[in-house]
Order: sequence, then structure tokens, then C-alpha cells
Amino acid sequence: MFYLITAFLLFLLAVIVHIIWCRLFFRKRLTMGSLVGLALSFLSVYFFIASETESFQRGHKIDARSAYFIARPDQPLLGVGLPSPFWSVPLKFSALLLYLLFIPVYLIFYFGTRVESPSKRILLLLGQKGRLSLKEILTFLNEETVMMARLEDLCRCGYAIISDNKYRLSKSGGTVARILNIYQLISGRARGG
Amino acid sequence: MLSWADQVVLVLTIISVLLFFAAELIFFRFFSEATVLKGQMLFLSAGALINALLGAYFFLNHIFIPPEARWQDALLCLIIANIIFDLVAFLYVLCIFGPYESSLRLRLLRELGDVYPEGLTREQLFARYNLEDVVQRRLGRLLASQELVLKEGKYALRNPHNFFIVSEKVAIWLRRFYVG
Repeated sequence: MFYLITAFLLFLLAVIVHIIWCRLFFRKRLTMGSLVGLALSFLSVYFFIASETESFQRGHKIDARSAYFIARPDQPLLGVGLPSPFWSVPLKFSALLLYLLFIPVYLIFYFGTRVESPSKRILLLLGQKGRLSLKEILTFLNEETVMMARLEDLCRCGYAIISDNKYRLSKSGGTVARILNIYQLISGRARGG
Repeated sequence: MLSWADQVVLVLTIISVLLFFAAELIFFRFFSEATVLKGQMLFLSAGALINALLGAYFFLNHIFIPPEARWQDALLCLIIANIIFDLVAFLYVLCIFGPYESSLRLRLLRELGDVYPEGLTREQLFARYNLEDVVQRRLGRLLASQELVLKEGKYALRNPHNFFIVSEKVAIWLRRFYVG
């Protein structure tokens, strides 16, 4: 449990630093790379704490400040309350794995702060307006915001280009299309969208 | 060298993740678009159940788990293995399966891919896949997942606290932190 709490608190710290960083420098756009960089750099702190803990468990003399944060398995948690049954379970690697998984999971929610899917728009619309028919729903959504915005995204990211008034895939777009065809072949699913 | 607890978590996670992916690739081709969300929930629950059963088997037979370990310690390993399995499955569903199944960008990219290296005008592209197709498809999925009800030709929310509404609330909350 000690490793799990350490990993969780360090990730939380990385998120807080990222929020402060974004509020200071990047209010208007997503900066996913900075979160990944921060989280990975905080990993070095995790490795330091983990190595200190191992030294402590082996009975080596360590820095008093580090010792304050590390409870012994047979003693109460941080010297207060009853001994915790979970505290001493050695989950160093699992905590590291959890920490690494938190990064992409958090990025999904972070990405969601700026991007709205059509399904979410439909549900929010029904939440606001109550009951609507298909025709009424279509009047609230328009081709420009739903379809064109995504087509422009493809162009902006370099997957598609416009030439002779036509949208064409770039080389990287063609590669993604081929990968999707292979995934369809393996998964046996019909074309999504 | 991994500790016994890490070994238990890793083995349980690897087994459940491999079974989850195998089940996805073998059985998911038989799920219709309407039942896809229910199918994912079923596979996630099955993975968690397999984790629990295997964890109990390891504990009772002292496989990876030393005899002196308390049942609370084994339970913690089981919970962590389940959380890691859920996170891996969540990432697969949201980053690979979900975009393939419902991303509009990827659908448009594939429509262009069909004529690659040629291209399509905006009108030609939207004749192949347009806003009405997008909305109808999503309404069908939301009806099947029981997020919506259809009564007298009108759609309405079945549950005002569904996954999308809750995730939007989380997004608003996060946006407030980031933008102020």
C-alpha cells in the first residue's frame, strides 16, 4: 500500500504542476506532451523513494526525513492508529505499472475538456431540450461543425490534403487507412463511424 | 527481482488481459453494432471474475502467495490486479476499439482511403457518409445501450446521469481547473 499511495500522490502532484503550467502558459490549447514529460520526470522521485524504502526494510541507516514517511509492517501507520494490514504488501512494480497507466487514462479525460463527440452532443442536447425527433436533432447539429471540423482536423494533422477542390489522403493518411483495413480483417467488425 | 505480491498481480493481470483480447478478437465479430456496449461490459465483468477466481485459487494453493501472507494482503493484490486489468481494457476500448467503431475522423479517412491516391470533393465524400448517417448510427447505439428511449418518434434520455453526461461534468470540472 505504501508504494501505491506514493505512486498515486506523485501522479497527483504531476497533474497539479501540469494544471499550473497550463494556466500560466497554455490556456487556449491542449499540451499533452508536457503532462507526459512531467509524469515521467516524477518517476525518478518514485524510484528514489522506492530505493530508500528498500534500504529501510533491509535495516540500513537512512535519512530521518525519509524514515518519517515509511511505516514498518508491524507498526501503526505513521505511528498513529492500528497497524495497517495492507501497508506492508510489497507492490513496488504494480504501483509503477499503475502510475504508467494513469498517464494515458488521464490524457483521455484531459483531451475530453476540448473535444466533444457527436454522441455527447446528442445527449447534452436531449438533456437540455427534453424530447426530440431525428429531424429536430438534425436542425441543432450542422455539417460544418460536425463533419467539416473533423475533415479540417485531418488536413491540419497532415493525414489529408486539398488539391483541385478534392480531399486526398497524404502518405501518412494512406498508411493509417491500411492499418485500419488490417484491424478490420483481424477483428471482423464492420466499418465504424 | 519481483516480490511475491508483484508476481501475483502481474500473472493475474497478464492472464485476464490476454483472455480479454482473445475474447475480443474471437467473439466480437458476432456482436452487432447495437449490442457492442453491452458486449464490452460483459467482457470486462468476465475478466474481473476470472481475476477473482484465479486469485482465490492462488491463495488457497499458495501459488506465488507465501503461506504466511494474510488474506487481506492477497485481497489487496487481487484488487490491484483488477484495477490494472480494468485500466488496460479501458485504454483498449477508448483508444483502439472505440475510435475504430465510432470515430468520425477515421470513417472519413477510410472513405478517402477507398479511392486513394485519388480524392473526393466535399459533395462526393458526404454522399458516401453524411451527418444524417452519423446521427442515426449514434441514436441506434444509444438506444441499444439504453441511454435513450424512443417514444412516439421522439428520443429522450432514459437516465440523466449516464456515462456521457458524467464525463462531460468531469470535463467541465477539469476545464475550470485548466482555464480558470
